[in-house]
Amino acid sequence: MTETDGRTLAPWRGALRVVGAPIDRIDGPAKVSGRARYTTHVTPPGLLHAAVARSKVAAGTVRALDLSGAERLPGVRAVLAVAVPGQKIRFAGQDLAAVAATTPEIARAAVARIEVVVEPTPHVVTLDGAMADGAPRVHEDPVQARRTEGDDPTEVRGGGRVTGNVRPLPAFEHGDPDRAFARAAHVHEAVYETPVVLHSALEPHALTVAWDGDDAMTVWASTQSIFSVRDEMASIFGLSPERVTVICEHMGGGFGAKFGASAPGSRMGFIAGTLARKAGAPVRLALDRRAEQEVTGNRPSSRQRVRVAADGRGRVVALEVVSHGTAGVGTGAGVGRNAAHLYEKIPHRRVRAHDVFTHAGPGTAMRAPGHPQGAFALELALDELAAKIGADPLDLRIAHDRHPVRRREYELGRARFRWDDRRARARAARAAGARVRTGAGVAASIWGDFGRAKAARVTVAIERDGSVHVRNGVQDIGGGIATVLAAVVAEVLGRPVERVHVRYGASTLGRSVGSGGSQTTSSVAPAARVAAERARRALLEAVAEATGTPPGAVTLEAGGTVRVGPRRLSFEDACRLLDDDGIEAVGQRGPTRSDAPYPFPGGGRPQIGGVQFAAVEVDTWTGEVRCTHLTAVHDCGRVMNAKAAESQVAGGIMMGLGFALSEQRQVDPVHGRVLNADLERYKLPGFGELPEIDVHFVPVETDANETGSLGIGEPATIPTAAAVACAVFDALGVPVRTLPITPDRVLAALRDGRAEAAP
Amino acid sequence: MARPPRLSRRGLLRTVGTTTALAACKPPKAHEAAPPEDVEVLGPEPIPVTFLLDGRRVRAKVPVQRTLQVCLQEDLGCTAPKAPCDRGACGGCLVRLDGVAVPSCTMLAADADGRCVDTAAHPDPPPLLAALRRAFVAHDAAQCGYCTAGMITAAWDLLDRAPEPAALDEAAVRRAMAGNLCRCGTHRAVVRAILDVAGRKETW
Ligand code: FES
Ligand code: FES
Repeated sequence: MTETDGRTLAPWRGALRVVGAPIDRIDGPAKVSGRARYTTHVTPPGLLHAAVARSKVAAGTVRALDLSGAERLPGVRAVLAVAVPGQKIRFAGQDLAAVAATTPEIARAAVARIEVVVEPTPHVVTLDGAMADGAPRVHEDPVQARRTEGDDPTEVRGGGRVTGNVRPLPAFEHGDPDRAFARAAHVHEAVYETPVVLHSALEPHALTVAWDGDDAMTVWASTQSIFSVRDEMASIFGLSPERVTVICEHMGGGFGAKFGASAPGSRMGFIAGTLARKAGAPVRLALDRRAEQEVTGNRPSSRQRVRVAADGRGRVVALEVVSHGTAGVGTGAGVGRNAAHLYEKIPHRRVRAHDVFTHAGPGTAMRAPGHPQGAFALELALDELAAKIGADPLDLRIAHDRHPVRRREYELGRARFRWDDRRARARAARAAGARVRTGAGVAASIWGDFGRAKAARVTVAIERDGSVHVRNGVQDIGGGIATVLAAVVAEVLGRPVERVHVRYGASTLGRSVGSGGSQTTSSVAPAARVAAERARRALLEAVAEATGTPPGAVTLEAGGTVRVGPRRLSFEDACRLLDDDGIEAVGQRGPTRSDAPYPFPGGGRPQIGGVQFAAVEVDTWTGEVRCTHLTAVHDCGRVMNAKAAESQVAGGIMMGLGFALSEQRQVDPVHGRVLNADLERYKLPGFGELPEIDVHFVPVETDANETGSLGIGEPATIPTAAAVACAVFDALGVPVRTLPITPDRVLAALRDGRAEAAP
Repeated sequence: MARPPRLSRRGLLRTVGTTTALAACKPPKAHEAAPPEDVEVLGPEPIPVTFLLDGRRVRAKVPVQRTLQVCLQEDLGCTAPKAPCDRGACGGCLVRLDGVAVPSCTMLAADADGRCVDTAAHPDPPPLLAALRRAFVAHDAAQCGYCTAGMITAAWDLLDRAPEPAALDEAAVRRAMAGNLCRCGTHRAVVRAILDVAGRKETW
């Protein structure tokens, strides 16, 4: 057994047959033919549809609820008061009451008949407003940070004492920044802002609950973590987790907002489960787009005061970020690891972040929590300093980075992107005062491998008919883990990918991880390899026994042929020698064994790098910015599926472009409601914004786990907006320090720049 | 009780064979638009609708205010058109109505009565639709897949109605697809898949 034990399984070396090739997704045919079933396509008999009455005011106290109008409506089967008199309302959209009815139309009509009296109290939805003296307090009591699997598990937890609406987060300090700033030859200081942005998964949160007696239930959920749904439902209703079956065949995107049975700002699990119990029928609660945008989480805003200093020889010596941001009523407005840990050769570094509470829906992890915001402010500030001291931004970065892979990525990117050319052209257009300018910028990512030991149990079965099956309860959120499982098992057993059947997306298929922290592949793929190696060994032993061959004389050749002494058997013929039960082997991932190629802060796990270069075109008359080219050079250990990995990066880039150029939640300060809780005024990037994208992976062989695979989902979106902002600075010669970089901001920056330049 | 609605087009549909009705699914020319028929008041009770869904005649009894998207999903078990925005902004619910792509979220199911509705889920896909499906898989143009059926429907509409698909360039494809949103960022793959199919008309 030792040979295939997770701890001692020799890592893969060199090129492989299946793993790492461009592989078509196994769920592709179901998705392109529209046959793939998502949560709202599951219709257990007698299904009822739920709808939720939500607060229209941002702050107040519930005085009375009258559900009788809803109760009387024909077709309504259950009503539920979620709020109780006396309860505080802290954001518009908060749950008040819910109904379950025979059709979605009746459920909506019933909600409209629910009368809730909320006595409004003053609210505050802006950062400045919330930080002002005498601002209405959002939370009277100490605040518990809500954490999910989407958060960086190594992040220091807790927060300082809340003053007014401001809660300091654990600070980071390295060296003596104050002294360094005092002695520095050049100091740049400015304020950078990023807006609240919305996950906007195209599939809104949805959950269907069917009770089976009073101590068991089946739940269909659009989720990034099947097991977190299971555990939350079990804890809400006092059930044994074993009695809760959770199913997620396909799901339409999460990006950090879909952990647990409830959405960050709506008690969906409690509501659906309680309505289903009351009505004695299965209940589906699918949020509408408004609720999805208003209450299911968001990326907190940030206002970052950044100071960077250089000495007389062009070395960056000190860096300080003091940031305030709002996650609404929630926590988590930190700005990630970039400032603290990316440029480790900056000797003196300090980061102080604060949550500022406002009366708005709670923030939650969103694709690389804190990092895109942190990257934007840090990288643009560095470029401004570079401009002051006459340094090339790319050289400056390489000079202050210790990560060997990232340094190589910078160099590869320099060539692929033609950095020097593009910078020269930008300079020329600027000098000529051209109307349409071009610019080039570069930024980096820092992320850790959060893959976990024993977090997933993968089963590999070989049947007598030669078929191979893999089972695990992981959800495929679009990253393509199901295909990776097939590839890994196909690799080990010498089978074609299409011959490996994967079952996934249900809690009954074996424990698995949540898809947060970019840990799915590095947690689950290794377990699949361990299971497959065990199955392979068991197969060979069984063949040896059946043929009376000494065990060592039976081997599996590439292509799946089994060699028995001098004889050769096809895989199928070999399997026919198995007894009726076939073979079933279970595998788990061993502990992280290496932090090569370079440790993540705190050690014990690899650090994932990644750099992106952006080229932009800016019309200085209209203020319009277009990203024309994006070169992304990333690493994620051993790539498992070249197609899916590239798609992840291209997708991260698109999301980053939205953050850079168009997305921002708008909250009306008077009414406290989100003004663009939809998909037409909340501007997602689309086909019009698609740049030419060049994705390149630097292969890294790491022994961190049995497949050498690391995550890529989050690193892919960290540097994009920062690189674009740096490119815009290059194009204009003046920075736009607020995201998104909209035409009005470009024009304002140009105007301010001219004013500054004037004598 | 209101008397049961009588829609002459449905009667027509009943009398003609599926093939003929399908043949009628060609995009209409502007001057051929049918004059309005007798308008009858429907509801508030659920009303019957009958139409051709992916070439097969289907019936449903729907609340008057039910959108076609909800009718397809809830009454007919058709899982292709989703409702990401539910108000005409994202293209996730596109169907081809008498051969023209329309959002099924902003249209009443009742208005589909007597018409031809085609979706990405067509069980016997026409060659073009089949080619698009293959290309979307090959180019990895579906991640979470929630936007995908809408994307494919838009692409199907584009190539089916383009006088010369091979002449479409990247800019034209991007313009045509601008109404379809995707949060996973499959845009580049989608464009490649469509151009791939557009350039190989012999395969469909
Ligand atoms: S759901 Fe119909 S266009 Fe978005
Ligand atoms: S593939 Fe997920 S929204 Fe397009």
